[in-house]
Amino acid sequence: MAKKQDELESLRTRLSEAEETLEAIRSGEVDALVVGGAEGDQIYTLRGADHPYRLLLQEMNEGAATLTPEGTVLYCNKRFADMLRRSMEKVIGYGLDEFTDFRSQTLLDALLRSGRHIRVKEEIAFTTPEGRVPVYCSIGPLHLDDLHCLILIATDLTEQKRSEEILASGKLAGEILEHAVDVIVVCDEDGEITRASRAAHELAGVNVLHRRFDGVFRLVEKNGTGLSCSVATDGAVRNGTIIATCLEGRIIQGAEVEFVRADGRKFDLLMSAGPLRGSNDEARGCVFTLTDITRLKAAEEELKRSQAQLSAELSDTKLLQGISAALVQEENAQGLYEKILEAAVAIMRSDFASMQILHPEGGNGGELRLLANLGFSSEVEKLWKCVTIDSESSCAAALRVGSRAIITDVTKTDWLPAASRDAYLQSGIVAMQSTPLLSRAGRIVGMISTYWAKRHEPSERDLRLFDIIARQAADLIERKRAEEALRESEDKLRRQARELEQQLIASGRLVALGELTASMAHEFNNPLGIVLGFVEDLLMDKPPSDPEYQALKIMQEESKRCQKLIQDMMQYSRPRSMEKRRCDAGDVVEKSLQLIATRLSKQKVESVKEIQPNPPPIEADPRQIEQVLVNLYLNAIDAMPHGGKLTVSVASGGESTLVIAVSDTGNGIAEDDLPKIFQPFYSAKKKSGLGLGLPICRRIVANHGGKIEVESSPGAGTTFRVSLPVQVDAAVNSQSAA
Amino acid sequence: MAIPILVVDDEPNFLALMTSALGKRGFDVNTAANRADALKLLESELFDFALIDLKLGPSDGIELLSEIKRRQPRLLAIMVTGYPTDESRAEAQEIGASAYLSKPVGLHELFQTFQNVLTHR
Repeated sequence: MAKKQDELESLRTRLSEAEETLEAIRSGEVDALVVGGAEGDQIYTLRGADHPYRLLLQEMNEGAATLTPEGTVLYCNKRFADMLRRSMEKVIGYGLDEFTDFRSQTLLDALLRSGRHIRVKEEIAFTTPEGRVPVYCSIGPLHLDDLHCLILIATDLTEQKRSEEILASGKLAGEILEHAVDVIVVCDEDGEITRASRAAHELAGVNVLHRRFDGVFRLVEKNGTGLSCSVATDGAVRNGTIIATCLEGRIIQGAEVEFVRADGRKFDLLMSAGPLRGSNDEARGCVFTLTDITRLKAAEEELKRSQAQLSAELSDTKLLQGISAALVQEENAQGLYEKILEAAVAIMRSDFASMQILHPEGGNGGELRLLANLGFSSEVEKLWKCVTIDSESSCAAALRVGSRAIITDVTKTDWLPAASRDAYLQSGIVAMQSTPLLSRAGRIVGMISTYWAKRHEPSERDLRLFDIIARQAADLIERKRAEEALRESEDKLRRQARELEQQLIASGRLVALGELTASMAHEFNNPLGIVLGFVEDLLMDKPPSDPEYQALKIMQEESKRCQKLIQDMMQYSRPRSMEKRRCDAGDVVEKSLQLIATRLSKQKVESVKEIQPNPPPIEADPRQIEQVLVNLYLNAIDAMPHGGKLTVSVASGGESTLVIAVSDTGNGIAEDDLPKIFQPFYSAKKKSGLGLGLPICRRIVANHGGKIEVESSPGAGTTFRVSLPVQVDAAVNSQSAA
Repeated sequence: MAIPILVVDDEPNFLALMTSALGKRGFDVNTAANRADALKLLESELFDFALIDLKLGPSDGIELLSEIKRRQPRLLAIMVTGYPTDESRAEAQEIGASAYLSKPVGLHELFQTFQNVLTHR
């Protein structure tokens, strides 16, 4: 530690000695310099003889210095110190290597080595506090007596370099200008154009050289950005100011300006401007580049337009999405129609809307029935509840031609008759459009229409969107149709099931009844037969004048009635087997009427036959059909206690059926009772019947594959219609005959 | 001379009715309430007619019919039943019954049947 301190101390001493010596040399007091080196201390002296050298050096225009062979500056003139941007004190006594950077070091070493023997010259760069200074160095040996020194002559190349640079950049600039596509304009500090690219002349339409920039290029600022430094209150760019800005060293980049040429043509330009610097870095002028972006602007406009369209489409999509979402949430069909119409009104900006379903079988070639509407008054709704294909309306027209019908103004439509036009105007409708709703298979299933209170022509976009809504509506209608068909068949099935069920219930009762009657009818039948037998036996013996004859007659009648009841019960619970054969309905009617001839005359009932000549034969058990008819006659007679007319008709009831109708002019059947009359055990004749007559009739007719129907108006009479299938080949025959 | 007729039925009142009604109209009425009584009568008497209930408990009227027809083939048998069926009708006719009537049988119907049977014999 102490040793180190000693070393430091000795160094300090040496330093101060050296400084003193140097001071002495500089002042001229001392003419010798002792420099410590690897080979021991060397003493350099400048004697009296050397003085002229010193003077020479001092007066030289070039930088000059004397150096030790290692490169330490022994002496230098002011010019050299100036070159290094240092005071002479900061140069003398320093090694030259302190003024060179790493790159020049090697070169300098080589110069110093060679310079000891011969004069060598090389370009070298000194590092100064203000930057690199290119210097042309000449180093050679200097023999002062026996003292070996080096003499260095340095020429500052800065100015020369600058002119070279200017020369080179000028050439480059010329090249650039020549080939530039862009408009490049160079002006000097005064704003006079000194150089310009070919494009600049073309843009300006004149040769711009030596004109004032602001005189040729009158630029108007476009959007206020980027030119804040130079915007005048009138919006015009003061080009002089741009130049001033540039001269201050600032750069303007990418400012959009508009240029109106002398011939009036407008250009959109992108302007950049910046200072043109000399090699001393001072702004000497201004460089403008102007890029013609007129086309770019057009493209940009186009882009904006398509963006706007895109965003419109996006909003359309959102609208449609909203509609779809709303539709998905709605479960009720009517609600769905209304939601669709709401969407239609929203899209078309219309005042009303309606949706119709096509019923192809209705009207003359189809009619449109109103499903839902938006905004119609109840009167209008009533008016348009049903529209036939031949009516004068947009929807009927659309139905006729099978595509969209648009009426932009009813008052200016010639095909619409005055009455229809007035109807529209009274409904507050001036314009309308109707779009057919097509099924997936392409059939028209309905119509969706929108109406405006003022003249209106729907835009293409609106119609395009509307078509999407129409698609939804068509799908809905198709679904509704399918559902209806399903519901119909479901209803039919349910009805059949209910009938079957009722039949089952009835037959359940009948099974019980059947069992009862099977065992009991016999029990009644036999004793009754015996009673009746004895009565008949007695009656055969007695003349009607006998006082007991009447009593026996009543016994016989009542017994017979009991017998009939029992027979009915047996018949219904265990029907007789059917023996079908080909027969003539006219004959059956004839025979059945004969069976009740006495009853008819007794009850003062007139019978009328209306039999179609040669009715088609039926396949039936004539005895059972007779039974049915007799049953109906007896009911009819019962309904006419004070006499009346019984009409029996036989007529064709279509291609394959024959209808036998039995009509009376009796009391008729109450409407409430009509559905019940075919039910077993329902009887209007409270006292006399079991209520099995009509159920038996219906069963017999049903077994024949036919049906029995009733029609009645209380007080006016009742008609039963028995429809029976015609024999198959007979049906064909009668058809061909017809 | 009265026409001999055998009436077989398990219903005494029916037998009474037949005895009264047929007796008055020229028939010599013999009644039997069951098969055994009927067969006993057949051994001692000759009959022109027999009126047989088809359901004759405990034995069957058809069975009796075949025995009667074996013993007196010329006898005209009329079957009467409360449960007429196509099968029993066919069976009775095959064995030799001349008629097949459903109960209750009216007297007029019965006399008509006798006449028919006699004329078609």
